[in-house]
Amino acid sequence: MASLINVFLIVVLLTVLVPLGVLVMISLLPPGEWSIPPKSPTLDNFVYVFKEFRFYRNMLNTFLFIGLAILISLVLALPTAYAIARLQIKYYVWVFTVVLVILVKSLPPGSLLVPVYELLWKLRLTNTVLGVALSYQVYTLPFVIWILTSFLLDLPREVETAARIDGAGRFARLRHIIFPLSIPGIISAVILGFLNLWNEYMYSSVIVSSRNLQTAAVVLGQLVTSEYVYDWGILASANIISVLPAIFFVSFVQKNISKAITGGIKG
Amino acid sequence: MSSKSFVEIIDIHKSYGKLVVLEGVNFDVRKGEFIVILGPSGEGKTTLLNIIAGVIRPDKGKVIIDGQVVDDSSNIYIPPERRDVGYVFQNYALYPHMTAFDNIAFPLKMKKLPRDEIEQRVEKIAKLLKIDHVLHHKPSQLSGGQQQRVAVARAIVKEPKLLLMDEPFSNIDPALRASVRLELRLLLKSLGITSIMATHDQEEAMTLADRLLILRRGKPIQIGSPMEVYEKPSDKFVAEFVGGMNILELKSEYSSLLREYRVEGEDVSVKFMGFRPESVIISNEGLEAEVLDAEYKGDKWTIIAQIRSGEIIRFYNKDPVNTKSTVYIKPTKIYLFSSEGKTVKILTINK
Repeated sequence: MASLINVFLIVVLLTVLVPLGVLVMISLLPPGEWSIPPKSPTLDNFVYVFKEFRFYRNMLNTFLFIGLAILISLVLALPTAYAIARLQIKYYVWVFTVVLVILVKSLPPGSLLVPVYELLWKLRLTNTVLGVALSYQVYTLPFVIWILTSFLLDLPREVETAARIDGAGRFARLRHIIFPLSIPGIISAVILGFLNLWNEYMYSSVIVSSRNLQTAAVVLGQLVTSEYVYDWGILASANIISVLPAIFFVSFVQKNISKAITGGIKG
Repeated sequence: MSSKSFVEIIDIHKSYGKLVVLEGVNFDVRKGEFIVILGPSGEGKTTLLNIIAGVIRPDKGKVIIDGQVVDDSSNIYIPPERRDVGYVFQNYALYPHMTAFDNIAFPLKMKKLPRDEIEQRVEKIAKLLKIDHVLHHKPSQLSGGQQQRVAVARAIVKEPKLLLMDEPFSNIDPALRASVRLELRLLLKSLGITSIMATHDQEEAMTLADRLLILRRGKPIQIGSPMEVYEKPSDKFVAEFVGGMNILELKSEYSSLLREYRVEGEDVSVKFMGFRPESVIISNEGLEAEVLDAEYKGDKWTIIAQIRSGEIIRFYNKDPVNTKSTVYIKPTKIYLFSSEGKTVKILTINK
């Protein structure tokens, strides 16, 4: 039985490793060469992607958009989640959570694209960092609320009562007690937010048209339909560079991810 | 209510749906007094404390602290953050992300006191409670006893008008409880803090309280000093709950025993008879009982015996008694209760 599971796991692993390995090998091909493995491997493609192509700008854009989007989500979600978690009638919390989950899972984010774009255009926020971050709320806000609500539900009420008796008003409680205690939940939200949005294409491609503000995912998508389509080495090395932060991120915070997921299930 | 009362609890009612938790609770607390609310678990003690603290609002009634109406169950309501009370929770409810120092300093920080004054006061109270060496630890790194001290320190550091405590000793090692209790009482007395504590432990209540409030099913059934409550329990429940009285349903076979107390069925309402374990003497006549067991208590033995009607009684004796032997016992003081359980008469005989 154990060996059967091992075989299965090896197959799964190979389906990930083989394409990734091939991608790495392609990225090392000098221009004009098509042999795998490469006969004369070179890092020129990476140098080109960085120096000429300035791909790091697009990656920074991705970071910036996601960072701002999650920040906005957290600012909005923490008080919301707090209200949900502390609502007098617990029954509502469950109804709300279930409705939220169904909504998030069944509504394709693309269906909101047109109204969101129109709204941002009217606010003159298209082609801005803030505009993209606001449009990302479609993805981030519901699930950040969800994660934080599940964390706050686990928070003992007595700690808060103690703070009230110690003279802390509503805002002081949120600042000194609720916020610090929900930091694990906030970290989970940040991690899952980054993982979810790293490859986001639809909103960032529609809302941003300027080359300077495009995200890594959008640029990668455009590469396929541009003059670089024949230059596989450049395509592959750009892809690898864009994957690196995600791999680094995941291995660095693996523990927190599992915590975030189990926390989410509990809520 | 006397003009000297510092806290007044007037006719408090509280129910959750159909569940009536408190039903007409009245009492007052004098300045510097230590009141213990004693009652079985789940019969409204915590709810009462929460109403006094302002965490819960009563359906009916009034709470007055230091001459100010803080809740009249309609328009007037001062929230807990502005009531100036301290509260020690059963599970302490320390702030898990703060050090012991920050926990204790939190109420002072909320009062926006200058930093050096906060430091001074926290260190002073920590020294008093002997936790000055663990101030930089987080609550999870503290022992149960230290956590309790931090909780007490946090509750009294702002010198509240009133200190509320909900079963503060229940999470402390029983071996340490007696000394912790004594220390706390001495500390509160020396600081002159008015306190109300809730507990289900009658021994704890007896040793700590200036006055006891016995709460049962949300109703106060007796208020008085530990001695008054012990000597003159208002009913059968108090008699059993405080000090553990033997209660027997009155049957004709006890009539010879009762004749000595000159009770001869004169009072038809009398339904139960009770006596304390320490008021029993073994004699050659009286209540016949078969000894089941004898427990050694150091200075005395607790004898557990079964009387002829089948009921189990316990009493103290200086010497052990052989099990299975038959003894005749005679209480020197008996309590008579009506069929509703109210104390009707307390009778003593000199022997």
